[in-house]
Order: sequence, then C-alpha cells, then structure tokens
Amino acid sequence: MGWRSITLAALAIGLGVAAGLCLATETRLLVAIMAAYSAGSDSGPTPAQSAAQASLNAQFSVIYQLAGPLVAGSLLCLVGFLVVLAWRWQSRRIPGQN
Amino acid sequence: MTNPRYDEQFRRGYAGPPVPPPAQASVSTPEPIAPERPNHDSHATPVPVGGEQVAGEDSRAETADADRPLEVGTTRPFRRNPFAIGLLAVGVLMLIVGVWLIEQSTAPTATFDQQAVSQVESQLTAPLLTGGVVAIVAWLVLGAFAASTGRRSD
Repeated sequence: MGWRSITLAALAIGLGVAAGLCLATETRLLVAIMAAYSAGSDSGPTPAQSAAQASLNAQFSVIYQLAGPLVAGSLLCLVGFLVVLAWRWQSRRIPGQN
Repeated sequence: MTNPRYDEQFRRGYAGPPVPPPAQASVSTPEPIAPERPNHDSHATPVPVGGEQVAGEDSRAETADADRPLEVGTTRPFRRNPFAIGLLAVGVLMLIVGVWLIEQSTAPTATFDQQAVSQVESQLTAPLLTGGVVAIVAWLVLGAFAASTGRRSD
C-alpha cells in the first residue's frame, strides 16, 4: 500500500472523527438553544439570557458550517481510498507473466 | 549446407560425442509476484481462482466472463475486484441511508432532543447522497477503464 493510499485512509478516518465530534456538538448546542429560547418569559429574555442565546447561536453557526464539509470530505476520502485500492488491484497482472 | 541457427550437435552429419540435455533447473523461471495462489505449477496453465476447479469442457466455455478461470499474464476481470465490489456496496449503502434520512426528517418530533437529532440528520442527507452518487460513478469509470485496458491487452 502506497503513501497515497495511507494518506487517503488517514484523512478518511480523521475527517470522520472530526465530523462525528462536530455533529455531536451540534446536537448538544441545538438542545441548549431550544432550552434557552423556551425558558424565556412573556416579558422577553433578560440581558443575561440574550447574551447566552447569542453565544450559543454563534457557536452553532460555526459548527453547523463545519459539519457538512467534514462529512462530505470524509466520505469522498473513503471513496477515493477504495478507488485507489481497486485500481491497484485491477492493474496488477496474474502472477507468472514475463 | 548447414543451418547456422542450430547448435552443432543438431546439424546433419554431426559425429561428435553425445551432448547431455541441459538440466531442468537451469531454465530460468520468473518468480510469481504474488505467491499466495497455490495452484500454479506451470505458467502456461490456467489458474483457478477461489478454490474453484473449472473443467475445460466446451459447454463451460460459453459461460460468463466472471466464471472463467484466470489465465497467467492477463489482466484481472473487473467483476472479481473486491475493492470495486466494496466501492459499489458503499455507494449503494450511502444512497439507501440518505433516502432513509429524508424519510425520517418528515416524521413528527416531540422533544427537543428529537428535534435536534432530526435537524442534524437532515444535514447529513446531502453529503450521503452525493457520496453515494460519486462512489457509483467512480465504480462505473473504473469498470470502463478496466474494460478498455483489457481489450487493449488482448
């Protein structure tokens, strides 16, 4: 296995782990945002609640934009890894050729 | 007139001492690249793959390409490529999961957790569908290249 195949496999694993962490953080942030918005009274949120909501929204925005490309990159690296292995297997000839 | 292409012992009228035949071990046989295949006594015989003993009957000669034994020195058939099969399986699996996630996103949710998980799952749909399509396209392209390469080597 060449260094390109190993790089692709390492990228697929690394990006997959990063995407999983992003998705888990995103889920946790979404739950926190929903809980923060539902905790507000009829008179509106307090300044402290508004600041907390704004902070959660900013974090969620960053994570939300990261997760999609990380998942896509991980899947593409997996596909590329399989393509490289399939190509190497295909281009090898049957043993015994001169 | 003698033919200079042949050795002297094989020419007409040779009266010298008999020359012993060359030893069999002196013939240089190339070492196989992948010695994991046990059944290759001679590099002129077909090599059965996967432990299958394929009979050389005429009726079997018209079977599909995947059922024919591999011959030494030829390219490998694309249908037996395990990584290509894995690529196709991964692509189909990603498409199935993507469609399943689309169906899941329309299901009603009750709690915050379910809503959050549903939203995150809906975010995965596009990459999964894209990855599945790319995998299947890559499988098709690999098959086309393998077919053209095999035809060129024939």
